[in-house]
Amino acid sequence: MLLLMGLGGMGVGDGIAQGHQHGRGPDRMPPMARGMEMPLIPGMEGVRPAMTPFLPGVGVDPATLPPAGPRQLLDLADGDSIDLTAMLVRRRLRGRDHVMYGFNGQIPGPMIRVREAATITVRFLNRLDLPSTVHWHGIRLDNRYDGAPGVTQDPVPVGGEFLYRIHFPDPGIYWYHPHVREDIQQDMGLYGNLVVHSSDPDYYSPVNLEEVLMLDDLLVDDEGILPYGQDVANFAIMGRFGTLFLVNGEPEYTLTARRGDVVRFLLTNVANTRTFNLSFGTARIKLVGADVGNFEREQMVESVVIAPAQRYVVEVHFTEPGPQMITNRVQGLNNFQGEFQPMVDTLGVVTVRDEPAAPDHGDAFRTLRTNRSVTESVEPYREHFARAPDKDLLLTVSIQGMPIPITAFMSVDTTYFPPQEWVDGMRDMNWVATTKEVRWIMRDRATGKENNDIEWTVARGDVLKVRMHNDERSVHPMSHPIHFHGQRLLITARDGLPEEDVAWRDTILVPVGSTVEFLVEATNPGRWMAHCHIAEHLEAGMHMVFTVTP
Amino acid sequence: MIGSATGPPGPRNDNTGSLRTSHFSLDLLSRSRFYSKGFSQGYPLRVTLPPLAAVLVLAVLGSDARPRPDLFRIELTSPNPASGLTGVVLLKRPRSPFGLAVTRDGHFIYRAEVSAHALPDPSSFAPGSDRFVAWATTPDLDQVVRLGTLGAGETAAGRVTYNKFMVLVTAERGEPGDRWRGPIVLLGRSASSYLTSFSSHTMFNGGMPQ
Repeated sequence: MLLLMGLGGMGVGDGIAQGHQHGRGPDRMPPMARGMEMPLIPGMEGVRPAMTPFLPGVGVDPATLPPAGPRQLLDLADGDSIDLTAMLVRRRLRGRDHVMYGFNGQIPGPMIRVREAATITVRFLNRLDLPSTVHWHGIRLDNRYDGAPGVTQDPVPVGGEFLYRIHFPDPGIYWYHPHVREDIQQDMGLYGNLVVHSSDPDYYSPVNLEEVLMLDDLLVDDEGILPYGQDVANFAIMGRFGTLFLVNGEPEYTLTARRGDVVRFLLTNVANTRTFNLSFGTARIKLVGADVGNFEREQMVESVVIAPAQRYVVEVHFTEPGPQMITNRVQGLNNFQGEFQPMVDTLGVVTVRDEPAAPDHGDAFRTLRTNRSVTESVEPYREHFARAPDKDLLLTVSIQGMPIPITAFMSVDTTYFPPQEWVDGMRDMNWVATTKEVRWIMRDRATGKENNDIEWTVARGDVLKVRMHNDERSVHPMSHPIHFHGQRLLITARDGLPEEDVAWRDTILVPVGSTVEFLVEATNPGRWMAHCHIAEHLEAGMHMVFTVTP
Repeated sequence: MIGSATGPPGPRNDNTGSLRTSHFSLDLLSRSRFYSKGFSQGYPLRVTLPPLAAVLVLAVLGSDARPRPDLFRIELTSPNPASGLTGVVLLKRPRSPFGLAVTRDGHFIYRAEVSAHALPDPSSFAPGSDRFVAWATTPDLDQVVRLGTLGAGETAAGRVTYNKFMVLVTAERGEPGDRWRGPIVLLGRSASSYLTSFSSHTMFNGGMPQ
């Protein structure tokens, strides 16, 4: 009893307000994913995140906004120019209107399709209610057009504009998104694909259909979209997991194919934090490409694990007629119960008609190609595969000032962390955590410098070898998709095993407890950003800078 | 003009500053070998407390201390501590083009490498036993996978995809079947198997403030 009296006067940590009802209102607690329900933990009554709730279009009548349309295809030739306007739109989801953002009134934004080596000009117009930029993710472009605020440009103010000139040196699937408050702007619909066609007609195997899918989730309940933090990001520990799965901005994705059709899917994960484990019914999956072009060797896979910002190109052979569900299958960890829950969420349906594919590309599908062009592009770097790294980064986290109940329960929660957290299994803790309390860290082990205090320099033409370890002993480790701007990356080893799945990348998943070694091909001069692509981790400080000197 | 920003000034968020609160804070067992219901070594978990209250919190949280289990290493011990037998399981992560090896339904895939030290003759555990065999099994013992035979100085290795599991070494007679029949010589548990419900926490018994 004495103990209780002593504790009873402490209140909660600074930064967390009290006296709030959790049921309704702009700072209500988020719903749990199906199968992950848990009661409010003791002491959480009246606790809420220390932030000002924010949703786009405050005071705007949604009826006055244009309805969000589906993305349009923009086939652009070398030298073409377009306008790209970030704007408020009215988005109807599951029978309810929401104010969201769109590029040119579309969610996703226009799909820009160009040929390899093309250059286009994009006039970006900011008609949002927040400053913004556009980052051309994975494109090795001129540094000044990279869209990284504070590194390559100032944010484009509300009502302002910026001209981007984008050169596309590499074939593959890329994407664009804002780089200011990604946790809000990207989540609210500002994302679009860039498809760069190779000049090699045999770059891909023949297929019957090609689909470009952007995978996302949105956190909604029966009141609407859960608010963001205006001054700081919320959901700062695990990131903002959504409750509504979206494919190309839609809750119901459908495709019709014929029996025996081979469909090439170009996949992009645009979710704030969710990593997907994707499969396509009973159909076989061939892994063809990664972020920046094809794999050296194709292979069959059971499923596709795709982290935020990553892209994968797969070919899928639909041999059985009937509906084939595109599903995300994971073992969700319910931290409250201390149990795993098998979870299957359907993202879409491929209806396979019982009529034969024509032409039949089955033989090509079953052939696992070795891509000589990838082998040749990697060859100059093989000598670096076995050498010691130049830089050593530790990925970790610091959490301060959380309410006592949360701190106490986090002590239970640190018993075990999976290599990958697939769902938000600790709703209360994650919800109240803002970037005031949580600091995600990239630490240079040689210098002790952290995050934006890190500024590496490498000469153009050199190869920087980096080792990253994801600290499994931190207070709440999470896997991190680490993105380096402006250069290509080549993984050389993971967890002590030499890499055999060779492909150029720009975003590397580092699961909890894992060590990844990779090369940064320093060919593109300028001052660049590197960061975790979980939007809330970026907001919580997990970013650094490196310079490639001319 | 290419690369120039125009328009009225607005609020700036350049993602360049890390946010930290400034307050009195106390590292809770942050460098200790032991944790209270999970507090681990080596991380900076802090709460904002007056010093007396901090002591009281430590008293509550420190009431059930045990080592934080390793994610990728399981220490094997004997059911008979007097035997002095020990072993270890290293949970290796297989190659994956995604950097994360999982099954189609999202189970993590491990290659469990089991080794033991100074194992005596198997027959010393049960008459007729002629080999040691390593197994992985779920906590409910409803699923079992044989990892391999464990000879002197050898490692038994196999694939494990259970969410929570135990690793056993048993003394067997003849070719092993799908399940062990002989006595358990060594056993250990995965880190995930130590997960418990929050309801076991002190706070559910009135131990913390509202």
